[in-house]
Amino acid sequence: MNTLWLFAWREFLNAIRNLWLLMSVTALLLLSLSLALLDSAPAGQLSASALQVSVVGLTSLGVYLIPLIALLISFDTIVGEQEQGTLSLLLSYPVARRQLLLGKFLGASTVLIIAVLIGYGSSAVVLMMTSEEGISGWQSFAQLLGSSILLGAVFIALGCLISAKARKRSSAIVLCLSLWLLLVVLYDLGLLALLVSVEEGVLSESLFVSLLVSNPADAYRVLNLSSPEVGKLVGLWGGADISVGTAMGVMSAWTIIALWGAIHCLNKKQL
Amino acid sequence: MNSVTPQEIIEDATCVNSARVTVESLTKRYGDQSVLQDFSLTLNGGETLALLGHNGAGKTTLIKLICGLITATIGSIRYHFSMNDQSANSEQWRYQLGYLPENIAFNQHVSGSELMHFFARLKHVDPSSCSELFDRVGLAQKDQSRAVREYSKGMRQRLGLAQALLGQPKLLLLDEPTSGLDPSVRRDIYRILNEYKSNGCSLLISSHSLDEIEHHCERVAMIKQGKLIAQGSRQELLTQAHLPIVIDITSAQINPLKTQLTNYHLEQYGPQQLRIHCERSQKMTLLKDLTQDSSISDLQVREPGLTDLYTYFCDADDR
Repeated sequence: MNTLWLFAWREFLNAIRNLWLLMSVTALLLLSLSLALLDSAPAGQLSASALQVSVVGLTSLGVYLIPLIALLISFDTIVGEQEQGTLSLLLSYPVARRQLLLGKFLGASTVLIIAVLIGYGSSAVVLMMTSEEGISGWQSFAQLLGSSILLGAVFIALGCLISAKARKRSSAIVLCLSLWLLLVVLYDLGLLALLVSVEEGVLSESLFVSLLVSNPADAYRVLNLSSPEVGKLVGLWGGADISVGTAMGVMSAWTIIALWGAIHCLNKKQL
Repeated sequence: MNSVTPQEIIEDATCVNSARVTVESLTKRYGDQSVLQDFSLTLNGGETLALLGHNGAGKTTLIKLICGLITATIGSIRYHFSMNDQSANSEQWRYQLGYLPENIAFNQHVSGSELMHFFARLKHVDPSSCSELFDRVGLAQKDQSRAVREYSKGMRQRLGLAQALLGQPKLLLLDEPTSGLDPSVRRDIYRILNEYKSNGCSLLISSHSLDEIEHHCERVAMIKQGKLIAQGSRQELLTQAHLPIVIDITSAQINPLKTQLTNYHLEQYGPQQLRIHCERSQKMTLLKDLTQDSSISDLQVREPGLTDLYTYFCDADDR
């Protein structure tokens, strides 16, 4: 087996042993099933399918939960091994440090992919079986699945970066939770505060949209809430006109840059 | 790996089953603090070299530098291997390396055999060789399937040694391999290491167990505050240190003896016990004189050992 996949497989097995996989699947499953079973009340008389309605709910709550799960399963990938004392032994073997990091990223991502597919997928199955529209609106839901996995990848890569940079597990978890708070909660509040505090015309719409979408969590929101079918269900997010490519591009760029930074930090790490 | 330590891997046909490592002018600083200073040392092919020094002297840092886990601030390391069919890229040389870190730690949830199989795959070694290595290090079949968290320190160390021996390494870096272990495990570990040594493997061992080092290592390097203060075989170091030979005698008539032996440094450590410190060149003359003295009921000659050399080099100020 290739070294990279060997590390990925080991990380995945560790996630099963540490119950991270079970916890991630359960969290997303509970979230999505509770939304699916709450009926399509939020849609009222709008001509949106049950799947499209569930996309709105899953996006609004998933944007908090998915980054949190991603950071929790990745914050100790490197620093955990370092604190345990196993990292130096691993790196004395004929392996490149980037193989270790990318392997761990892939292993953690697999956990998240499984959690998203089972968690969100099961609510799609429930809705398709119970609602009259059947599979109508599946494209929005498929896009939700894809972008949720990508959002998870962004935050797993950021978790790996923090883990490679930090010297202690405790500081890594504090940094990860601070990053979550900053990108997922405070960024929007800051942007809103900026919007209401500056005079009209100072902050152009294009600058606002650029600022909004440069945050991966907002790119995810905009992507899933601005499609023509779903957009009519929501307010602010539906207003931004962002292509699927741009939003996915922003999230991919975050992932690649964070991974590059993580590899760089690991290469510099003195064990 | 990005590295500021120039690490050069050299193909050397003379190193068939062994490896030669040359460390040149290595300095390692953490901030303002120098852990190693202008350190140069050669580990010859098939040789067992011991690193001695107080805690924090820089032994572990040197081993980690050679292992490539940390990078030096200044200096270079050259590795001479016979590469055979393997290309000399930055990671390939590690196939020839076995490393046993100080206080080895493993993933606690997995079993010993799972861990060994994982390490074997990392080193591209046939996992079937693991059972032979388990036998060799004395880890019983029933223990191999137990989780590592249930292992005693001795069992963990045996497992650590087994992973270091995967793939017939030509260079073994062992950081305090016997610290905290009972005499039987210590003896086993050195028995196994001697087998590898007889196959030509080069060993670099850091240890505080001077007795073991004295019996198993050909050469010793003494480190003090990050500097190499002495190196050589025990005999070379003894010559360098000019340590006296100690003769302990028991005699009913100590005082007349003391007046006869005024040329020597004397130490009375009991009512009938006298310790004489003499130069190696004076030893035979002195012994002849002493054996003819009928008042002496017992006599013991003690050659200076590694403990004395360690005290001389590492404990003395400004040496």
